[in-house]
Amino acid sequence: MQEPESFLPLTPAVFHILLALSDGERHGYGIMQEIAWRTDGQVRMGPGTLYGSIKRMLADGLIEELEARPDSAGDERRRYYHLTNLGQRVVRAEASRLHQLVRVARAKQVLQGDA
Amino acid sequence: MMSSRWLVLCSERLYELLLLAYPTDFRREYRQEMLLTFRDCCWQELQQGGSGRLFHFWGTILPDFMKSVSVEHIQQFKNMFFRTKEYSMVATPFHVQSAQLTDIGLKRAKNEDTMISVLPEDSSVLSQKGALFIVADGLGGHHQGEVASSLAVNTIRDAYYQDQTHDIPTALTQAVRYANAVIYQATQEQGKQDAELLKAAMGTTCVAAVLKDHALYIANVGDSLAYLVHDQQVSQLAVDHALNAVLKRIGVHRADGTLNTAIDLDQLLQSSKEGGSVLAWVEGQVREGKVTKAEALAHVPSNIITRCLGSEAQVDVSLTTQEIQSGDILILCTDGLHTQVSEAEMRAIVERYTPEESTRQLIARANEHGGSDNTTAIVVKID
Repeated sequence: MQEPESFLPLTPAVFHILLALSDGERHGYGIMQEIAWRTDGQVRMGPGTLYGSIKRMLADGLIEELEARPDSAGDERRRYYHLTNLGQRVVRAEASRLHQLVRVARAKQVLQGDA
Repeated sequence: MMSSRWLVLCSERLYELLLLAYPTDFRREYRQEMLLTFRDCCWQELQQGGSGRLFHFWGTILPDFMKSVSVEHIQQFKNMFFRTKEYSMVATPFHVQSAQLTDIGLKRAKNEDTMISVLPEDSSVLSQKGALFIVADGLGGHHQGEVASSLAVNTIRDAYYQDQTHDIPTALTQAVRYANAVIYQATQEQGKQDAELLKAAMGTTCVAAVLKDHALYIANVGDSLAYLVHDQQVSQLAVDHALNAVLKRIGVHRADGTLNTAIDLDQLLQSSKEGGSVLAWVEGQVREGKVTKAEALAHVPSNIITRCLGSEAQVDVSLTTQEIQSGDILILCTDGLHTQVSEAEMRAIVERYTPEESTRQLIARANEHGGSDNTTAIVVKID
């Protein structure tokens, strides 16, 4: 079984997509909306970056395409994705890695408001 | 409202044109999704801020387009030239990692080997048809070898996955037979236009392995082979159709490769199922080289194969089925590897390294031992 640490550090796009899928399955546009909403519009991912990342994450086994569409899905043609067990462990490992870095930044008083 | 619809429609058409810049495989897989997502984004921007927002949106789309098109082409370029990939296979009982690599070797002017590893991303296809690995070694002048091996690999892949039955061994054998017919037909067509091309008729060896559930199905023609490392033992799964191997199998040669003089050669060749192809070769040698049958059989060149895809309208495909267990390692390779690197060396390498590193080490070892031929290896670790 592949260790989550072997995927780190993640690219920002992959980390955002994993975070967007961490609380449920979404289709591509849903992922983009979630990312824009969670970052107050700071991160606007385009379809090219999104689907290029999705392709590689599927190949790495971080996400899977849902076979059945969720009940609320209106458009049959849309593909829905969800995190695999490996994907969940990888997003946790990356969040933990970044958390450690933020602690270092705090200790060095480089974060605004820490001084 | 009408002008908004018109703006979205124009944007969509323009984006559809831009999508043509992505590699074909990527476009086939994601074009529709990307268009749907793009359309949703356009409407959202229009609703939030009118046409000004839409133009601003295009300002973010263009850099995204240029960056992602470059990334996808670089990925494709890497896959073409380094031809190495690693996959996880999450929808099967096993976790599977595979890597593939091909090398021109030290003596050849071109690489006529082709390989492919298919782990379908669609889990229903994966569960119904499994994963497919193919290695082919092309033969023939005028660049025909690489055409033949590539035609074989692509035809087998398409025919195997288009087959709707659940009978894996039959579907695999039929796919290989179909590839034979396609190459044979192409050769005949070329021959009509250019008699020189018919003389340098193309052909290819091929070994194709399907991994599904707990079983491995191997179909092969020629001397590209498959090996399975199980419980620290290595065994050859495919049937070697190299003339030397056939002679040993039917008893004309002893295990050390010398001629078995204690037997009636004619009777043995005529009574054995594989003897016919040997007899045809021997008689050709006798006609051309003014040697006796025994002399021809005593000095058989190592590069003669008794069958390949594309040389005849029909071909006999060897099929082997093997149960697999966690910890097993599959190796598919061309003769450039197995004639240069012993089974024990192969086992030591694949047991020690990751599939990706194993393919590099195997090819490096073949080149250290002379690199007289193109070398191709696929290594699949099953955990």
